[in-house]
Amino acid sequence: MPVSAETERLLVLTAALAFGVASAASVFVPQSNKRKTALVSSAISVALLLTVAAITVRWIREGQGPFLTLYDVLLSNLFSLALVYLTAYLLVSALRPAAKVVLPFLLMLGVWLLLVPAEAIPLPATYDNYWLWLHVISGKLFFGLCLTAAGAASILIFESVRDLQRAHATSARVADIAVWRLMSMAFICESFMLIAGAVWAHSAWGRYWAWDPLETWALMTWLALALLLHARVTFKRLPTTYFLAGVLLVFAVAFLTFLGVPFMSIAPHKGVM
Amino acid sequence: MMRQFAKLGSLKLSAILMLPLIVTVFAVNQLNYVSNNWVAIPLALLGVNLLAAISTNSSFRRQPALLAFHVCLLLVVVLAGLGALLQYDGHVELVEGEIFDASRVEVTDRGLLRHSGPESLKFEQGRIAVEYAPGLIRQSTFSDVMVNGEAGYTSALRFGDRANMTIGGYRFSTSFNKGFAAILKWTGNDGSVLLGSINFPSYPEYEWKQINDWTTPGGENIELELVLSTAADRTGAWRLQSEGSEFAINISRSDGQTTRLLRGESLSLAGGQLTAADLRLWMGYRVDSNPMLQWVFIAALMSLAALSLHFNKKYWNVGQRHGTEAREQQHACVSGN
Repeated sequence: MPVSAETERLLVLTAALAFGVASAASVFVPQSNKRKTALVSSAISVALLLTVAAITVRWIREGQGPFLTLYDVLLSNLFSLALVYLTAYLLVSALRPAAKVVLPFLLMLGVWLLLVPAEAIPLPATYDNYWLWLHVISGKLFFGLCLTAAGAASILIFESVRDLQRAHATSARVADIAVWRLMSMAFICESFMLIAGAVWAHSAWGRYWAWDPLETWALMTWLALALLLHARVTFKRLPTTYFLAGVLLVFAVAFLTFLGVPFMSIAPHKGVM
Repeated sequence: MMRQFAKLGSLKLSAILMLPLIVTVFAVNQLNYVSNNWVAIPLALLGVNLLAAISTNSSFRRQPALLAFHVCLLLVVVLAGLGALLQYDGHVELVEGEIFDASRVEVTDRGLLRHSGPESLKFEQGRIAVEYAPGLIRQSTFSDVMVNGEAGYTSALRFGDRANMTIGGYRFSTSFNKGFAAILKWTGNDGSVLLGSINFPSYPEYEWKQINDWTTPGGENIELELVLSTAADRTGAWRLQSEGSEFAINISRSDGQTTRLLRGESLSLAGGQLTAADLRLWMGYRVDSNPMLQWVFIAALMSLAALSLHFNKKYWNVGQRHGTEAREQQHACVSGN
């Protein structure tokens, strides 16, 4: 029996609260506290489970995945971003300080989600194929990796950038390496997102590329990331902070692509709906 | 000479040339008067830069996966450009029972090197059906066609939303644009008989204005309004199909006189007699052909595979160099967090 929209809203509200708890713990609990990692990761896990529950009840009620509306995209991104960051948080300790940036961002998404209309738009039959899944999953992986890298880059810029100048390996050095690994993986995911998106568009609308706003911004994100990765290898003498600031810039373009451009109108790829 | 060529392949120049590409892409998106063809200029410059870099930069020879990535990327650009020159794109509306006629395709894009269209294709439009969920939410679309092969045999095909029909290198995709077509018979006063169709606006989207104008072979302008015996069901599941659809056609003449014709009924007009013969469905198809598309796809996947290999090797090496330090540091971080 389908669960009501009110229950779904309650799940989203509770998830946002859990992200709030995780954010507060990441910011206010001292680094020296041995239970900080367990506390933060537990709060993210609870928020993640509540988000999964909200997606599940919505999926059952509407009979389709969260693909079309701003509400859908925010909800699914809340899940995917939290999952990517939780994985990074548990596996790479150097990325844990980034929680101070990433978790408040997720809290902001949760609050935003509570403020937008939750009505669903039926998924057109031509949209529903495997390429849609590949396109969406690779896009969400890209955005998650980019957010994690941007979080770590912010911390490196504002807190530990001086450590990077030292000859010896430090936590900042490890975090810096992790940032570029994440951005490289993000580039692979973004590239695959564009390929899968073109195949999907060819199937859904009969054309693989039409320079619609979302496609163009996705290409600009890819080009900006390509430029950043290329520049870091080429201009080695420039200060590290320049490239870390570049990570933030790429994330800003990605944010506009994923959560700005598609919703200046009603739905993603509005031009062809 | 070689030194000049090496300068042309400078990696710093690549980074600099990426900026105008980003700016041009942004301009294409933001400024209506900037054609997307402008993107070709920075892309061509980057292509020359890349060719020069591959030829002169030894780092590519030391990193074969990186070389493969860039070569495949160049291939994607070249093949996509070639595809644009060979592209064919158009729209056509076909009525149930109609034989495909390439001259009726409204061509929207034809590449400079594309000299012919789908003239040789032969097929007959069969039944069309579209299923709707309650609330008139479009579900599956079905289109049956009979295709005449080279050997003269006829085969039946069914396609729709999730599967297109590709024959002779041309892809036919069903669209949301479909509706009713009145089959009309015109019997001239000289005894000549013509059978044709009048396509009414897309249904059920324009259910409220199923009207079209027509000039008869006798030269009289008339307005035709389709009146269906049953409207689209908005409350339950519904199927759009021509079978079982009862109809009438209101014919309005220039003098203001309106006559209703039921199936098989006729009306005398200037120069002949018009008979409402039948009611069928028409489907709007997108017709496209791009022989390079599959090669662009393959090149893009290969570039991605090569880049993945390159990053894997690069980080494996990084892991070797920094592994001990990193492990120690990560251990310290875990302990301190």
